[in-house]
This record gives sequence, structure tokens and C-alpha cells, in this order.
Amino acid sequence: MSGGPIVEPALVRGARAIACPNCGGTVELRGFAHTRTASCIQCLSVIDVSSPELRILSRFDEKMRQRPVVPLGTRGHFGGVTYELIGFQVRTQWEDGVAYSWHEYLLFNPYHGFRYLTLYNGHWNLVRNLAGVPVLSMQGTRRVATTGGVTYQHFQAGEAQTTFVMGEFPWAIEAGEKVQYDDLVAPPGILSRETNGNEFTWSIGEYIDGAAVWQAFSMQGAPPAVYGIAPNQPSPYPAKVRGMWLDFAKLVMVWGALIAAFLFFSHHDTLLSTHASVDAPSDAVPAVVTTQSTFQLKDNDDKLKIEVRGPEEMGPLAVSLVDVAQQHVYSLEFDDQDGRTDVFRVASLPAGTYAVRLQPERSSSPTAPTQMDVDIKVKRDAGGIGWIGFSILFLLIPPIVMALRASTFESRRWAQSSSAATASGGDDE
Amino acid sequence: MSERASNCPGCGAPVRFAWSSAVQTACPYCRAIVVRTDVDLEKVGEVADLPPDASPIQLGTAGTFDNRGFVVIGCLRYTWAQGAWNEWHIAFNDGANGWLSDAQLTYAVSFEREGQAPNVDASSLQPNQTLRIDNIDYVVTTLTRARYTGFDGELPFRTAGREEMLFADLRTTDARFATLDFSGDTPVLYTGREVEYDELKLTNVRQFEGWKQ
Repeated sequence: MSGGPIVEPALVRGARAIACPNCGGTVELRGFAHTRTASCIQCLSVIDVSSPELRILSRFDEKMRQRPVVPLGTRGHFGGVTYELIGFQVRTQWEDGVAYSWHEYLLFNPYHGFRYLTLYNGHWNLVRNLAGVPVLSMQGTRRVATTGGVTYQHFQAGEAQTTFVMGEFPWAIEAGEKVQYDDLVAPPGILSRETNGNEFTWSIGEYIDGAAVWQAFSMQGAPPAVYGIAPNQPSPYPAKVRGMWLDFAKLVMVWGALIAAFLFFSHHDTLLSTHASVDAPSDAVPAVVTTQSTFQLKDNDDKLKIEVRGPEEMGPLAVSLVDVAQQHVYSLEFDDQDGRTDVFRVASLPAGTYAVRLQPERSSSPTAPTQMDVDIKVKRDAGGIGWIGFSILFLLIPPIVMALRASTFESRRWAQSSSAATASGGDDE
Repeated sequence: MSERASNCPGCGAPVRFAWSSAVQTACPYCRAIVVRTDVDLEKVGEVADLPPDASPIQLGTAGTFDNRGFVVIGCLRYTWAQGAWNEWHIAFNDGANGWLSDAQLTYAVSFEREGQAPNVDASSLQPNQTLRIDNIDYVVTTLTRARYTGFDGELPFRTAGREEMLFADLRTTDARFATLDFSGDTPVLYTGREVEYDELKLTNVRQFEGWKQ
């Protein structure tokens, strides 16, 4: 019995160092009493620091040596908490003789505990252990797991081997140890299940930009370049597609408003509204009436619509426009009849002042009136509206192209999946 | 929280119980393990030095859980094949007690469910087996054989005679968990949930050189 304090010292001393039992080199420990395994940076021995004699668990060959992209001991801020990078592990999976390796970085805070960063092809995930056990089920032919209200789709399974270790870990770790893993994704989230044959451990991660990792660690230079698409990389396209459909909707509304305004104003853009009395033509004198009222045309590309409304029993009328100054007569072609209104159309008249000339054709009908009162309207012609629908088709191009690109992104993502189902997994575009 | 004072049978120093139902405590002066009997206090041994540990929690750490304040009054330290963890005995201001566990800085709060343990046999339990507790499915994740490597402060039971214990850890699909303790004659059920460090709003924690809380 020492009689010492029963409560442990309120201050826990910081980084300590041990001498490597193999080469005598200094092994720095940053994880306080949590550290169970540490590696010697000089001779690559993996040491069980929880054993009094500092047992060597395994040793890596010098040619296996790899460099962490963020140095051990670097501190960074993630989710408002400062973490120190204390461990670095390289894991490798062999597929058809090809080695695929990724980095796993262990982050430590003495109050908040441990987090991990994974790095593969420039893609990062910030990972933590999961409290609950996700529910496994099938969605069609694909395995899925649900946790926290999110359903993750099975992406790949494999066997990962520890091919390099640097720094320290709160668990036993050995060169060449193997785990079976399953990755399930719901971008930007990733669920991973690992087992060494005994129990399953689950972790949950979120895709994090290399630039954000670099910023969190206040690192100089650029993060490792990104290759390909990560299993849980958030697609940039659904947001873009949504944005484009929104733009499309706005454009259609603006377009519609413009067209409505155009139609409204063109409808009321009446150049001339007058009436005239036309005598029935006699055998001797053709009855020709030219309106006293005139209208101006400023340029020659106005399309004009001339409406002549007469009594029901009105006989056929020839209608022409007269350039008052030049005394040019432009005969109009009958275009349409709308009830009691005859409609004539003409285009591309030269600028000038015009009157309307009416000439009733001889009628053989004995009941033809001797005099007809007609209303005359000259309007700018809005023309057909078929081109509006056509223009909307053009507006459809950007969102459709973007939707296709979104689909391509998902196809490329799932092309790497080793899971049974190969159908596109994207639900959100 | 009632506080009763008696004298330590080892050294005569006053021994205070912060939690009225505590059965065992450690004398802060002479490190005697003091057990409360019906009439007085009995010294049953001496507290061993705790192995080095890096939990931020210590006796006297205060915090909150579900808006109820608590103080850490006791500690059990366990080791098992894969490492060690702490069970901190916490007394709530309203007189209730519970456990704050800390396994590699993963925190959870749980409560004993007296007399509510499912009628199962330790030897029949298998990993991935489902047990229904409180109308929720709990899945057996691990069966852990553990030993005490230390204890301190006030505890709701005597530590003597509990040299090796078998625990079944059960998980739900969310952060809830249950533990079945098979160290006694009948299994004892604890239920609780995992908590984030920040959620506990701990004060009077240990300081770590080079770190801010």
C-alpha cells in the first residue's frame, strides 16, 4: 500500500517515447494510454506497447515503406474538434493480380476519441465507428443496409490486407492481417462492415473534398489529384439538373409572359378602325369606295391583317390598300372568313400612308342590298404561334443534356461496383 | 442526495457516502475497501493502484444526461481480450444511479433494469441472435469475458467474488444498446444509449498536456 492518491492525477502527461526493442530508435507516443500498438519509424517493427517487455508483433520490410500524405503529429479541425493524426495504415486488395491500395489515417482527440480518414485515388472519407447495427435487407437484387433513416446500397465486398503501418493504434495491428469488408453507399455517405471472422464492426463515413482536408490540416500545396469517381462521391449533377429545370420553368414563364404581352399588344395594335358605306355596283359604274381615314406604315416588314365586317347578305368584296402619296394600289388576297368578317392579309408593304379601297363585286343575287355598311379594321398581324412551341423545345435542351450527364456519372460510379446488380443505383436524378 | 458520514474501519478517517444506496466505497485516505453492512462499515481489503488510463473522466466529474445532472462517484475498470474499458458509477441529483461507460473514448449511459432481464441462459446466447426487450429488437453482437483490473469510489455492489464476468452486448439499429451481466446468480439487464462527448457537458474532467477540453 503506497498511501498515494486514489484519484488519478488530474493532469495526464503528454507525449511519451519508448525505445524500440529491435533497433533502439525512439518511438514517440501521442495517444496516451490508449495506444496498444506502435510502429518504429526506423526499422518498421510493430510493437505491442501494452506489454511490459514491448513485444514485437511483426515487422515490415523496408521495401513496403509508404509515406503518409499528411505527416504524423499533424493536427486538424473536423466538425469543430481538433484531432491529431497519430496512425497511418495502408490496406491493399488484390483483384485479378492487380493491387489496389488505399490509406487509412487515425485521428485522435483525448476527449472526443477516434476518427479515421480514408484516401483512395484522391478521394477522402471522414469515418467514425457506428453505434448501432444497420438493418440488412434486399432491394430488388441488391443488398441494402438501413441506419439513421438512410438506406445504403451494397457497392463492393473484398478482402483487405494491412500492407504498411506507421504510428500508433488503440488496438492490436499486425503486418499482413486480413479483414473481409463490405461497402454500402448512399452518396455522400458510406457504410462499411469489417470482420476478421469473429465479430462485425460497422463504421460510417462521409465523402470529404481533398481541398477541405488540406484546409482542415492547414497543409500547404495541393491535395493528391483525384482519379475517377468514388463509390460515395456526391454527384454534382442532380443539383445542376434541378437548377436547370428550375431555370427552364422560369424561362417558360418569362417566355409565356412575353408571348402573352406580345399577343395582347399586337391584338390591340390596330392601325385603322373605320367604316364605310359601299353602294352596290351598277352595270355602268363600278362602285369603289376609298376610306377617308388612313394609316401610316413606317417600315416594310409589318404583316397586316385587314378585317372587313359587313352585313350578313353582303356580297363579295375586293379589298386593296392604296398608297395615298404614290397612288399605288395593292390588291389583297382573301385569306379567311370568320363569321361575317372577311380577313385579308398582306406583308412587306413599303412605308407610306395608306387608305383602304373597297370594291364590291357584281352580284347576281336579286336580294343583294343596294348599300352595305362595313366596318374596316387594319391590324398588325401576330401570325401563328407554332414557333413558340418550337422555341420551348430549344429551352429543353440544357436540362436534358444535364440529365444525361447525371445518368452517365451514375453509370460510371456503378461500373466499378462488384455487387450483383448492375442497374443504375441513382435514385435522385 | 443524502450524505452519511461514518469512520473508516482502517484509519478512522470520516467516510462519506455521496449516494445513499452505495454498498462499497474506497477510503480516500488509507485506500481501504470499505463495505457497508446493516450496522457499520467493514474493511474488506485495499484498493490496488489503477493501471494507467487515459479517460478524461475521473471521480468527481460532473455532467448531464437527458437534462439530469450527475456526478461520477465510483469506477470499475474492466479488461478483456481486446482491451479495457471503464464503467463510471454516476449518481444523479434526483437520487437515481446509472453507469457512464467509456470504451476507447466511446461513451454510453446505461441503467440497471431491476428484475427485467429476459429469461435467457448465457450458454445458449449466440452472436446475431435477436432478443426482444421493451418491444425493441436487440441483436447480440459480442459475448465478452472480462475481469476487474481496478475499482474506486462508491459502488452499488461488492466487488469481491466477481473475478470473471460474462457480458452479452446487444445493439439496436440505432444508438441504443443493452448489456446482460451474467456474473451473478441471475442475469442483470442494463439498457442505455451511446452518447457524444459534447452531449454530456462534462466538467471537472482530467486535463491532457498539450490539449484543451
